[in-house]
Amino acid sequence: MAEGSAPTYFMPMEAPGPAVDPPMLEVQGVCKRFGARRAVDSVSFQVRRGELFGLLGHNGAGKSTTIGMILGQVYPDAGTVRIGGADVFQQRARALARVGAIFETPCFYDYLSGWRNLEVFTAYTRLTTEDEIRRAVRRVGLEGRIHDPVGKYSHGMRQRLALAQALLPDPEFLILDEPSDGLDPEGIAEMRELVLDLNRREGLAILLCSHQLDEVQRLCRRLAILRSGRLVFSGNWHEMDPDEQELDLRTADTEGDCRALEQAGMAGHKDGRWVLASGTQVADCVDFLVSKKKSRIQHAGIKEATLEDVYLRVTRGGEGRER
Amino acid sequence: MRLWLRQFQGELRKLFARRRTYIGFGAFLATEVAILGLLQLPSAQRAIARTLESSGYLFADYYTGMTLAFLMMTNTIFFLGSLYLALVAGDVVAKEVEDGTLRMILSRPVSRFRVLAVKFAACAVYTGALMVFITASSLVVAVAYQGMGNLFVFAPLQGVFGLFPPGEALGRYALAALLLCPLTLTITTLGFFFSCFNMKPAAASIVALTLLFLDMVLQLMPYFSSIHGWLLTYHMSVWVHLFDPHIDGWKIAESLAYLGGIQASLLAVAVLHFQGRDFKS
Repeated sequence: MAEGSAPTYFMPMEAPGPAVDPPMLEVQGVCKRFGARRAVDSVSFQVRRGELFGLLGHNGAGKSTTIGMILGQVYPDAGTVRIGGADVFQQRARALARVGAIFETPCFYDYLSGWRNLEVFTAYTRLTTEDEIRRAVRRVGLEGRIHDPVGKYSHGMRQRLALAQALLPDPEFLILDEPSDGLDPEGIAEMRELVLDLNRREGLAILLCSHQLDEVQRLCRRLAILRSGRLVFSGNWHEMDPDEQELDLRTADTEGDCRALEQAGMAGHKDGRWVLASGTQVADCVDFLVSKKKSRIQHAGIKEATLEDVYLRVTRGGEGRER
Repeated sequence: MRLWLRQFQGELRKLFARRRTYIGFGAFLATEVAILGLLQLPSAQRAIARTLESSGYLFADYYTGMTLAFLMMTNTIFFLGSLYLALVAGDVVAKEVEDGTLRMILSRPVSRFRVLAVKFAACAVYTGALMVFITASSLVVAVAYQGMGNLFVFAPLQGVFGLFPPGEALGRYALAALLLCPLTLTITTLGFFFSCFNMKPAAASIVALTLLFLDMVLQLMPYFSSIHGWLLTYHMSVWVHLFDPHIDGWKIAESLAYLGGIQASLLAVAVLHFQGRDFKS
């Protein structure tokens, strides 16, 4: 499928409840060009308060540019970005007052200690007490090394320090760009726990940008997927195709039996997968194959879609349905 | 105000915590000692004696710690000071952009104008500290070596010839040290200006130094005497007129105003450009 004509999948918005605060983040129709290159094209999505939201896309899909626009570092050619109801470009101080961010590569003043780095960065938000810094340092487990020069830190320690600076002084919205990048499995697990803890126990809204789909799958229900600067999916990825169930069938002649189901109108072939026809149950298929084809069934069920399946489907531009 | 001070303190810390600052200050001291050594050469002493004796003064009366301090300070600032200031100022924004730390700062609720203002203020303090260090260390080294004594100043380009007793010499020397701060801030501002554009830190320093060098060459060439009044280095050397027997306050004020205007204009353009830049990894 030609680029730009990829199908888009947008989940229907949930019915609004009683009057509530504005969403934590509201990205509305943002566009950005760098010369002739269209980096971001009419991207819109929302992150709710207290929500862990994923932002996915391949390299060059426009994630960094989008994050740059969210933080007021990149000026959009069109569209608006609001954090907590405040426009990032018109009311910068208000919009970013309680935002913490970490970027793909944690950048620090290597010749200063971790503690001094935290002092330098947090001074650009508000006056921070030593106690607040100490709490953030304890939170990320850097107490023992916080007075060492950052130049002597390992990558994992730099990531922790980056998270500590994002937690200072007192954010209600975190933007985490590849927080687990370069960490060992143990570090990834710790980071995941920390992110979950911040979201569930402290109610922080988190925008998580990552290439590690299994991590995002574990953490986020709602997410946005960018492809070549365009939003190709936004919403709850579990509900992307609620009435499209992938058949997981193993028989002595799986391919032949699937084709028989197709001819019987009970299944269809889509994106290299066999999916059940609307209203058909697995039991109906089993019944049909056993009674009509005398097939020997080893396994029959519904295949649980992973985020990787969803991601590849929307980014490779397979057939899809616009909702 | 307290927040501004905290940010300013952070910027100063960044400048003064770097090892290169102290390596640089050490290099200045070494340069001063080297100049002092060169001034002991018979040929150098003969040249000074010739200038003094042709006007009827005794070499022994004016070949003193004060005179040596003046010569050491002048040459150190001229050869090394401008280079160092351009390097530091050229780094201050561009290096942070390159390293990615500026993005971390700009993810916070602070205006870009404020970020530049704090950084420039820190650069100004750094410039002042460097000038005070060079003038003070030259004086200490020279006086320790040769004793205090009278001061003899001869600057043919500025048409200055002055002879002063120790007390007055020290006063004028101290005034010169103070005046050098706003004058050399021009070099810092030039480096800072280019640092705000989308270029590598080294490029910002090199472009600033190239402009200064060109400006100085134009000043040294007599064919361009009609445009001297426009040249930065012409006004930056106005401090030497503090060693005129009668100080021309207006001349100094005029140069300060001219350079102040240039600095303000450069900063305004830098802020405008910086304000509209996109910062992206």
